[in-house]
Amino acid sequence: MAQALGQDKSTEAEIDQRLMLNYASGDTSAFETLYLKHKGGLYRYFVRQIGDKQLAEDLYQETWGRIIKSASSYQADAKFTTWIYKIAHNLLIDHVRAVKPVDLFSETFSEEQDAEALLPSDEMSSDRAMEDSFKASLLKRCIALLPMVQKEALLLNMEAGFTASAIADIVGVTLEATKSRIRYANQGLKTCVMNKWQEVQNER
Amino acid sequence: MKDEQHNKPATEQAEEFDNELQTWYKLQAQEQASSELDDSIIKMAIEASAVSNQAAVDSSKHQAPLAGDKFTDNVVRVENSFWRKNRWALSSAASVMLVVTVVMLNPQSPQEILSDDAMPMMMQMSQPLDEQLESLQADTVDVKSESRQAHRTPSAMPASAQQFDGAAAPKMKPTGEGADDRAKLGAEAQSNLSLSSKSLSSHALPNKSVPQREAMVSAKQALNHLQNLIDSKLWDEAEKLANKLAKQYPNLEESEHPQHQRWSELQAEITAH
Repeated sequence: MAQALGQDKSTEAEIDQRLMLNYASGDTSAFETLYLKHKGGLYRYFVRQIGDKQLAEDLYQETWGRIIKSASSYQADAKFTTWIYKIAHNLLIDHVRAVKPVDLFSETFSEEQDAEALLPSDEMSSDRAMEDSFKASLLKRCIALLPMVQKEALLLNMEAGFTASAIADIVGVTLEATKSRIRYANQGLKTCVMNKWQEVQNER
Repeated sequence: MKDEQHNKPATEQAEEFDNELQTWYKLQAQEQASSELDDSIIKMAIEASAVSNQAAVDSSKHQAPLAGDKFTDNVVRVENSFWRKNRWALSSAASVMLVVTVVMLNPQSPQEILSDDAMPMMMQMSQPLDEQLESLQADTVDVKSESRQAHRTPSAMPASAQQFDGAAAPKMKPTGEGADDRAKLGAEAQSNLSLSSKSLSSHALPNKSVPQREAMVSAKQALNHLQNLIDSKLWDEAEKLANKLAKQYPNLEESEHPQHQRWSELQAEITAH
C-alpha cells in the first residue's frame, strides 16, 4: 500500500511537472489546473502562519506571481511542490526579517469567543464527532501559540504532505533539526489540546 | 489508518504528526483564497503567457537577421586577429625598433653609453684622489720587504701622500717632516715610489679628473701634429698651432710635464724660422 501511495505521489509530482512545462510553453489551462490543485494548501500555509489575512493574501499572490515569472526557467528535475513552497518560505522569511512579527495571536483572541460558542452542550457530549470538532477548534488556537519554526514544519506536513527530509530541504535546516521541531510540535500540540479540553471539562 | 501508524518504525513515527492531531487538523475550517484573488492570479498568468508568446514570435521574426549578424560577427573574430595572436612578438619587435631608432638619431649618445668612459661622474669622484694614491702606494709597497712594511705606519701614510702631492705640484716645497719620512724609506722604495709618482704625475695632478687626463693625451697628439707640420715645413700653420697649444695646454710650460721638453724643442724650431 505504501508502495502504491509512493507511486501515486510520484505520479502526482510528474503530473505537476508536466503541467508546469505545458504552461511554460503557452498552455494557460495547465496553469489553472495547477493553481486549483495547490491553492488551498499554499493559502493556509500563509494564513495560519501569519494570522493577518490581508498580509497572507499579499504574500500568497506574490508567490504565484513569482511562479508565473519563473515558469520559463523551471527545471523539470525539481519537484513542483518543493519549488513553490521554497518560494513561499523565502517570501515569508523576507517578511519576517523586514517587519517584526505583528500580533500573530489576533485571530486567536478574536476566535476565542467563537470557541466558547462551540463548547459542546450536555446533549452533544456523548457524540464523538462533536468532541473531535471541538478539539479541532482547540488545536487551531494551540497551533497559533506554537513557535514559528515548529508551526511551519507542522503546516508543511499537514498541508502539502511533506516528509521531514523535504521540510528540511525547503526550510534549509538539517534533517535532525526538522525532526526535533516536528517532535516538539507534536508533543506541544497534544499537551495544549488536552489541557484546554480538560479545562473545558472542569468548567462544566 | 491507526494500524498503519502503529506498524511504522519509531524513527518514521518521529517524522510525522500524531494521527489524532492530523484528524483534528483536517476538521478545521479549510480556508480558501477568495474568488477575486483566484481570478487576478489566473489573469496574471494568462497575461504573462501572452507576453512571452509575443516575445517568442518577435524573436523568431528577427532570427534570420540575427543569424546574419552572427555570421558577420564570425568573420571579424578578435581572438583570431593577427595582431592579437602575435602580440608578444610584435611588441618585442616594436621595442627593438624604437631603441634602434633612438640610437640612430643620436649618434653621440650611444658612444658615450657604450664606451668604457661612460662611468657616471659620481663614480669617478667617489674615490678621492688621496685614496687612489694610497691604494696605488699600497700595491707598490706590499711587494717589497717586510722592513718597509714596518715603516708603513699610520703616521707614514700622510707623509707619503704628501710626497705624491709634492710630485704632482712641484711648486709646493716638501715640508721637513715629509723629507724626514722620505729619508726613512729605503732607496728601492724611493725609486719605486718615484716611479709611481712619475706614472701618476700625468694623471694625478691635484684635483685633476679623468677628462683632464684625456686632455694630456690630446696634448701629446697635438704635439705630434705640430711635429708633422714642422716636418712638412708649414711654418705658418705650425706657429698658429703652437700659439693655440700654448693657450690650450699651459701645463706644457711646466718642466714636470712629460711633453715639456718636446714642446720646448718644437717651439725653438718654430722661432728659428
